[in-house]
Amino acid sequence: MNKTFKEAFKVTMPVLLGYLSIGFAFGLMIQSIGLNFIWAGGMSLTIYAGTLQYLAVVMFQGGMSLISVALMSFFVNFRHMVYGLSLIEPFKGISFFKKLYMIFALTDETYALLTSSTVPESVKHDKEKYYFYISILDQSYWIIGSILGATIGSIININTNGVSFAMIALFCVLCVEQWMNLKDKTPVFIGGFCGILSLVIFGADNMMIPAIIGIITLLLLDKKREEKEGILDE
Amino acid sequence: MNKYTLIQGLLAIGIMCIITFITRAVPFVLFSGKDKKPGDTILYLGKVLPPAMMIMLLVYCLKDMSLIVYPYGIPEIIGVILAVGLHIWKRNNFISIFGSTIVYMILVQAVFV
Repeated sequence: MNKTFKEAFKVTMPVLLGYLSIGFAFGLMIQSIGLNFIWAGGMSLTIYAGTLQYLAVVMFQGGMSLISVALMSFFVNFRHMVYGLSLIEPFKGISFFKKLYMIFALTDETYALLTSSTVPESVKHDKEKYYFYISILDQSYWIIGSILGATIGSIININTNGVSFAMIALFCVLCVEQWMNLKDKTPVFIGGFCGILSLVIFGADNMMIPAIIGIITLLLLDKKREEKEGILDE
Repeated sequence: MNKYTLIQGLLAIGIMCIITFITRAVPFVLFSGKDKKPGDTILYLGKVLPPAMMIMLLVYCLKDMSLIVYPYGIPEIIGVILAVGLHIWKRNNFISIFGSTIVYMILVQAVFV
C-alpha cells in the first residue's frame, strides 16, 4: 500500500473503532425489525448519516409518512449545512467526481478529521488523495460495521460495551488540538457555551439546531472584534 | 417490526439519501462557483466554525449522560478527563484515544455495573 493510504489509515483509526461499533449497533437494530444485512449495508452505502439511520429504524417501525421522513432528514442533518463552509478552500482543485463523493461522505467525524488533521509532511504533494482516502475509509468502516451487526450480531457474544467511547475520545483529542492551534480561543468558548446552554434549555433530542444558530450568531457578533484585533491573520 | 412495503422502504431510503446529500452540498453550491467568490463573512465562518462545532459536537456526544441517575456520568467524566489529559501530556492521538477508551470500557463493564 502506498504512503498516502497508510497515513490516511492512521488518522482514521479512532473512527474505525467508533464506526465499527456504532455501525454494528445499527445493524443489530435493523435486524431486530425484521430486515436483513442488505438493508443495513444498503442504507449505510446510500444514506451514510449515523443519527438519521438510527432514526430510520424508528421510521420503519412506525411506518412514518414520507413527508415526515423528509422533514426529519432535513432537521437531523441541518448541521451539515455549515460543514462545507470550512472545506470550500481545501477542496479547491479536486476533480469533480472525487469532490462529489467527498461532499456526499461529509459526516461529523470525517468533517472533524478533514478540518483538524494537518496533512503529514510526507504526503503534502498528495493532499487530494489523502482527503479522499480518509473519506472512503471512514465510510467503509461504517458499512462493514452495519453489515456485521445485521449478520453475526445476534450470534456472537463478546462484550464490546463501551467501545464507541472512542468517538467521544476522538472529539476530545480534536478539541485539544484546535485549542492548541488557535491564537484566539473565543470560538471554543462560544461552541461550548451554546452547546451546554442549548442542551439544558432544549434537551438532548432538540439541542442541535438551536446550538448551531447560537454559534453562528455569536461568531458573527464577534467578527468585528476579531477583525479589529487582527487575530485571524496567520 | 418494519411496517413499510418494499417500495415505501426504498422510497424512504431514497429521500433520506437525497436530503442528506443536499444538506452537505449547500455551501459548495452556493459559494464555490467561479464568479461567486465566497464573501468575507463566509471565509471568516469557515475559519472559526470548526473549533466551535467540535466542542459542541463533544457536548452532543455526551448529551445522553445523566448526572442524577447511577452511575452519574462518572465513567464519561473520567474518560473525557483521561483523553484530554493524556493528549495534553503526550500529544499522541493513539495513546489518548485508545487509553481512554480501554479505561472507559473497564469502567462500564466491570466497575459501574
